[in-house]
Amino acid sequence: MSDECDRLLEQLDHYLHGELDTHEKQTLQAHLDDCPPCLEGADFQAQLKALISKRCGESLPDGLQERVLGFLRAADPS
Amino acid sequence: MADQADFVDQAMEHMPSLYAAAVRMTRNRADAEDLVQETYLRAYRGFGGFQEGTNLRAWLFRILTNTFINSYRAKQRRPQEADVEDVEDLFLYHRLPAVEEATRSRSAEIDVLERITDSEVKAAIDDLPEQFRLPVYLADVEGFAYKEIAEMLDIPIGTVMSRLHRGRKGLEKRLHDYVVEHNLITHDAAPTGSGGEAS
Repeated sequence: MSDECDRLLEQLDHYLHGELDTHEKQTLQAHLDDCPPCLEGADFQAQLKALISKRCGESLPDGLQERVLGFLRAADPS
Repeated sequence: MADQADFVDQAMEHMPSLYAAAVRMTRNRADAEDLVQETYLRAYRGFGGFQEGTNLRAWLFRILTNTFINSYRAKQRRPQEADVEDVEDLFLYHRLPAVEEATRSRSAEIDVLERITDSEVKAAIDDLPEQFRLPVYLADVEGFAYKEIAEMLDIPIGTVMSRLHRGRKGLEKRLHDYVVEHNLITHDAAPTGSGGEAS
């Protein structure tokens, strides 16, 4: 991998999170279009990010919603 | 100005994601239930100050985060200022070549990811020190923008970015340890009797 690859990969997480400005985004996209190893790495990071998100679900405990509603009804709204 | 009568209609649908976040923040289901309850109570009382048309989910997460930091952090047993090991970019990806060679498939690395369990991903997040855990969770699980996270945690956006950078690396390192421990890298193309997971 070249220095350019290293430099642009530092921005990959920000790119995948939609946090780069237009110019930075275009520069990184142009590099990925021309550099298959970086593109594969970027695909992998995107999948990793998706995996982390989808693996973190928790089922709501029985009765929590009702308990919270009960608290709210009893609370002084002021 | 928002009407408190509308609170229940608008806010209750966000409870599953608030609860899931509370579990990762407190690392304890009983505390998570209390945290969610307190968050809803505070949000209800403060709903008059919520500006209609702005992001209710982000507003509720801000209250959740503030409540956690102010009320629950003191109960957390692990040290807050711990660091995570820094590793290079694409750390996990660059350590999965054995799979690529074994299966000659570009999606082989992604197959490895699919074999990492829910509980392992959660444990990897739980292991991150709080200063990294909260930004990583809020960004990568909940998808909040860096600016929103900076407001929730009341830290500069540059600090959010540096903590995310370190936190994501720490997570990759931990997941890599799991992949190695469970031989997910060196599995054969047709594994027999190891794991038994249908593909």
